[in-house]
Amino acid sequence: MSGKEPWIETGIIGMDMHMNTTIMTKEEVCLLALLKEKLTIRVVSAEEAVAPQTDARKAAVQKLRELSPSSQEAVFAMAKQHAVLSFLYDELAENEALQPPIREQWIKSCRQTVLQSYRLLFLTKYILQLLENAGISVVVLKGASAAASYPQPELRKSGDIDLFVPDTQDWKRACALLEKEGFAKAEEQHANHHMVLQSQEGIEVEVHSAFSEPFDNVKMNQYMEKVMTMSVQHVVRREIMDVPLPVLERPYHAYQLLLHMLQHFLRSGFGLKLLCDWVVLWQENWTEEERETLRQLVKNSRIEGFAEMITSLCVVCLGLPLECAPFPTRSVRETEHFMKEILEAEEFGKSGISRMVVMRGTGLTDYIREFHHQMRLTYPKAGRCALLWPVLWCMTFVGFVYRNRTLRKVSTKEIIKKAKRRSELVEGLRLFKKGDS
Amino acid sequence: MRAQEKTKTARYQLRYAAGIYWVLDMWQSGKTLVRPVPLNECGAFLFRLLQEGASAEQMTSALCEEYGLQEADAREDALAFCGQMRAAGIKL
Repeated sequence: MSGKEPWIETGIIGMDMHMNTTIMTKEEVCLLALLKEKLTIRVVSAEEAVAPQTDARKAAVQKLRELSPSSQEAVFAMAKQHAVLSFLYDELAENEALQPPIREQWIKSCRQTVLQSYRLLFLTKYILQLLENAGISVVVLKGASAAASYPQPELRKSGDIDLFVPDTQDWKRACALLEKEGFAKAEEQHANHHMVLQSQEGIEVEVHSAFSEPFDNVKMNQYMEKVMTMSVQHVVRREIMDVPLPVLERPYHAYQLLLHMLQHFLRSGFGLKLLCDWVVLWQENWTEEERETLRQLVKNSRIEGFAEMITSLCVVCLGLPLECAPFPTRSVRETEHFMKEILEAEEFGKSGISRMVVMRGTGLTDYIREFHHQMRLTYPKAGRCALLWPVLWCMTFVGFVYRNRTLRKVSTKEIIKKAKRRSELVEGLRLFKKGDS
Repeated sequence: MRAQEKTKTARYQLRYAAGIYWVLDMWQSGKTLVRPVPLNECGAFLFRLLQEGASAEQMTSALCEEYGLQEADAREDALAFCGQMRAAGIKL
């Protein structure tokens, strides 16, 4: 795509985050500026032993130094909450405003991220060997696959291993084989599209039977099934730190990342890390054919609005060069509001327990549809029988209120209020709807 | 991102991340991680020499030249480093 593509909104070019004083806090602006500089991929020589002192980096660091010590601490704390602290290692290590114990603790945390990346990589290698020797076709999703796009993959924080086994029989065999090898089935399984197993060291391995949880749209789910079937033909070996792993071809990998973001967004939200994945992925050398494949997948899924918003966030706030952007960008104002929402969410919506779900609109039917969808997710088997729905609705409602009071310690009213605010943002994306977003 | 220091051999990879040089055993294939050996700048310097097949004498000279050490100190350091690598199970 050239910079002359008609879909590029010229207002966004050269936008500076300084202008967001009404929505963003100065700490948020600073964090985005630091990440923006870090995510710009440039060729560096192997001999270069210090962080490149580009003008952009100097400006970002200057912005950080202008903040009070407590604000600087807030910037790094926010980076940690969004699982992007290790990207800022250099700035953290040289920062003199932070209290030494806090700085040391965070430096340690960055190193733990690196060590964990190595642990996950080699455990992935071990599991792949095990499954492939048993004749099971498997694909690595998300973590290691996304890390491959970073100049230093080990800096991308990851907590688990995600494997996709497309064939149903193979999926069952894979789970059984892992159990036989000492991986314990997690007591609580929170999703229908994957099984969680735990290694003896406590590392979670998610064996996926699908790209994501079903959405509350039948056509979308049917199309996702179709793409998953097709994706078997689109697996390549990619080296991550010289370890070859089976991953999806770029358009399918990008599609899966989008679905993953969408799935989290429609629940409690997702943080900056997933956006960083999108920024580095699109700085690779994509062919026009690959771009077109992804656009078709997105168009047929009717999630163009969401893809555009994710791309806008990356262009406007995280420095994804416009010439790399795969989708048209949206208005700056809308993008800022979305970024604020993401900054609030932190990693996978951990920040606010009131952030439970989001609807596709703010009307009564949207609330009912989402409630029904939650019932179907909670009771996937019983939910197939329409006669049981009234009972299941009651059970879902009682369970929801009970968990809010006892576990989440937040009122149901508060959750609904928050969901309404987030749903207003979603309305503009025209999710799963036909036509221009 | 900080420049990637990466020296490949058939078995070991020296990587730089989060202020530390990490020696990774790329041949490992077990369930539990063979923990990478963390090195500082000087350790990485010696490790590179070791990978290139340098002898203890050559490492001593290189240390004197690079860090301005006395020969006796440099020899002691070079031998200690080689011993530590052996103790960590690194076979070069």
